[in-house]
Amino acid sequence: MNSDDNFLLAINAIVSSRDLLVKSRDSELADITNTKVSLNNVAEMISTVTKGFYRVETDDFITGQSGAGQGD
Amino acid sequence: MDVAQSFSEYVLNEQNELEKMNIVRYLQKKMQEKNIYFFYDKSVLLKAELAKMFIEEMNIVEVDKNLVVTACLVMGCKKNNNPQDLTKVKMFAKESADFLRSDMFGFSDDFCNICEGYNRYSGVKRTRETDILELVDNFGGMLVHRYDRQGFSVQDALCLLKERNLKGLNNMYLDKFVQFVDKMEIETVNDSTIVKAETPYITHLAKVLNKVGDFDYE
Repeated sequence: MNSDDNFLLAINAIVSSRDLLVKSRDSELADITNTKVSLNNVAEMISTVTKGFYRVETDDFITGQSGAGQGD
Repeated sequence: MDVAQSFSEYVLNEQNELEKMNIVRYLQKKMQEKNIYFFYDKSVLLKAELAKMFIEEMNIVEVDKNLVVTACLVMGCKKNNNPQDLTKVKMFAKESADFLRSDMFGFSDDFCNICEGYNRYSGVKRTRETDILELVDNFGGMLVHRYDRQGFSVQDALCLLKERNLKGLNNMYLDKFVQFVDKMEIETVNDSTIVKAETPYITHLAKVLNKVGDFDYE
């Protein structure tokens, strides 16, 4: 290899390292987004179950009034 | 290159660091044609890349990144490859800055003073820029293989930077630089074709550059 080839290889090493860093950060971001989606799903599930529970336990919940603290 | 444009204008007007590296390589070859010594090797590229990343990643807005990266590429142009000769080591920065001051380049005195301050031997006034150059020169230099030793690991180089090279010196960015290296060592890249998978970023960069052959010869 002559010196010009080695210079180009050195530049290429820097460029490819930068690309790998960007790729790594992008995949980390995708992981965070996926985790967020999963957490949203769990939150939605909890919310649905809780609403169902209140429907069974007290009709007041459906109308937006709490059954508790009404003096009964 | 526009003939009316000085080299300093040409290289400083180029904002892309990789293009800047190409421009300085072109200058090195022109100097070699005239039998004028101009030091420029892969350790210089690594130091410039570290300076760029440090400024960007740590959001250092008070310095001119373009100026610092350019200075990194030329500040040691009169350095020779014999780091054991301490008398000469003490003269590199001054000799390089004096060379850059010559009319053929057109660099300002301020720029040349910043270059001269990459080490403390000549006693130029410390500035933000000189302190960044000092950090990347010391740290980057330790990561690269030399004829007389292998490159240090990132953690060893960082330890030596704090406890030996800059011990007792007041470098205003030392703490921030340590944070930067620690931050970049947590971030891994995956390139199984060259080095083992999931390598910390700066370790990876030093390894791939160490694998490349030299280009600082004719």
